[in-house]
Amino acid sequence: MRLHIKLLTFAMALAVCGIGFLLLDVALMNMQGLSLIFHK
Amino acid sequence: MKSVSKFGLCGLFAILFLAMMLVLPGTDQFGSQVAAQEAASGDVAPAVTYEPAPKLTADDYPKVAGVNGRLAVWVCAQLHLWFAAFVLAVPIFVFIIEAIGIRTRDKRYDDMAYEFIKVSITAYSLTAILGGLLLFSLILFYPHVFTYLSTIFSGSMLYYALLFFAESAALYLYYYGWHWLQGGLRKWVHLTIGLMLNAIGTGLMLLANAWLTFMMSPAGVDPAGVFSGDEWAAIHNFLWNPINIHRFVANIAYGGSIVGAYAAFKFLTATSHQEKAHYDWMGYNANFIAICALLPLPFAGYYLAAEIYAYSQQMGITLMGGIFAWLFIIQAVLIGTLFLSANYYLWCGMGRSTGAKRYTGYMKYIAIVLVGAFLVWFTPHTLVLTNAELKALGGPHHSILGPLGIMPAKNTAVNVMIIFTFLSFLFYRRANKVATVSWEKTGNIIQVALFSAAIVNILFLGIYHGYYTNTVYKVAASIPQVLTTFFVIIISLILDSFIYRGSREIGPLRWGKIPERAQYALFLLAVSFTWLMGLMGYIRSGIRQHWHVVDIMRDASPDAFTPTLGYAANVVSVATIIFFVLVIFVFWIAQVSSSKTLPAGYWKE
Repeated sequence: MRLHIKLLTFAMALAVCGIGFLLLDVALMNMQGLSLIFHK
Repeated sequence: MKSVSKFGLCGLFAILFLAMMLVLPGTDQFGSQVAAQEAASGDVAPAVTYEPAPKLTADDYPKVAGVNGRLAVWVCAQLHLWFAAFVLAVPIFVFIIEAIGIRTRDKRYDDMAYEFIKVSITAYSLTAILGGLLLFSLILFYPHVFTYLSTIFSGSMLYYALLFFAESAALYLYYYGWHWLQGGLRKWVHLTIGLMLNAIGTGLMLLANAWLTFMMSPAGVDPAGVFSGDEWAAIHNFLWNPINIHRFVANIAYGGSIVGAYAAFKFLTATSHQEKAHYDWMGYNANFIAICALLPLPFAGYYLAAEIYAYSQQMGITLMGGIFAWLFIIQAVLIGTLFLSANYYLWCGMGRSTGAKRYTGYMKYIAIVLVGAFLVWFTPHTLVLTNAELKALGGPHHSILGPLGIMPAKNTAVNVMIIFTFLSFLFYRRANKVATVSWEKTGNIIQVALFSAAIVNILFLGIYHGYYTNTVYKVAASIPQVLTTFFVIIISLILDSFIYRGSREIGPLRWGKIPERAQYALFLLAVSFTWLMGLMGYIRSGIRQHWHVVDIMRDASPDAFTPTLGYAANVVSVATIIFFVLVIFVFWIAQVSSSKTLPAGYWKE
């Protein structure tokens, strides 16, 4: 596998995983459930 | 083993006797069940009223032979809990290993499961004896507390005694019937007994957890402590489930570490290569079980701590921001030791395969990250300083290291430690394999990207929300951090299983080819776990401060003060030593039971 293909694959995978984790963060930090846990 | 059974039965009868005493009429001093006057007609059921929690004085605590009551109860409760945790956990993974044996038809699993349960059978007798001792010491030194609690939990205490009988029956049947119930339907019957044993054991733990959590977060009583009569409300109190979850996971990790120590002991004393290979394999499995349960354990602990805060901010602040805060530094050191020793054992174990050489270069980087995270974890928020040092520093907080003393830094550190421990495990898993799929390199690149994105996300959540937003977000950010770690583990395992589908093995694993020093890592794991449980258990109980039952029943004994941390650490350390003396006895008994002496010329031919 050539270097630029390796880098491109890595960058794409990183972007997908990064966006995935970011969506997870946004969803969890804003969900109503948190207030149930932390505002008893 | 017969003598062991007798010990078990003695303990059992002691508990049964006391349980019967509890349910006999007229034993409760508070007249919890004061029969109301019958109505004139005589056909109205008697109303049941309960007295408020008693207001005690120092005279209400009997002094027996100059023994310190608190110390006696503390040590007995701690020893009982360690053994109970062990004997509840071992059947869980024995059941799983036996099921794996049934599925794979590999007899080695069945033999290993049997050896695990053999160790726990002696420990079970000791658990019963120590449980009896705890009960006696509670009745002797804290009779009013015991009577008040038994008034509320009379039903569950009776069920506890009955469940204990059922547990004993199931355990003895499971152990002694192991070789009898072999093959076909019989094996399934045996496995079902194992399942019942676990269900009963878990039930016992849940009941005992209800009693102790009631003392922390009472429910089913009014502010004066008058019981409403609804025992389920008292059982299902605010902290019951957080403790249930935390203890269930912790027990498995703890049980794994103790049987790991047993395997290490047997490995070091083994004389043949075959024996060494067997106990190496056993030690690996025990360590694997301990790591599997250790990974989610910090999250269960964090959930419990968050719930304690949610129930009572005062209790929460006492827990981690007040007098007990420094014990959490010791906790961090011990948990760091757990992670380091578990990783070290895995790295040593990679010597079993020649293919591991491909990954040994990465170990030093994993070690650097683990040590870095370990240092962050045990950095204190407020330093203990002399006046001169305070003056030189300009306050109790270090300007650079101070920010590492708060929870967002600790959460970030623990998540990073878990991810890198998982990475060690992943390397171990791959060590003896060569992937044959065409997209292996692409798969590896995706794995690297997944780990990188996860670490960046954990650092972002820890730094941004931990230091640049308000406290609610600071606490809330721990949840996506945990889930990020969780997702990395799950996705990575799935991806890895596809990459290594149809893979080729480099050679047979050389079980027994592991340095002896790796076995000491297993001992370290067991000792750290034990000490950690003792210290954290003390904190959990100690945050009640001068209350027997928080805000309901005040402790008026001369020992109602919170001892110094040094004293508490000494008590737990001495208890840990006593526990290990008993554990060595258990290991020795297991060894003795399988050895035979042929006395030449002693018996008539």
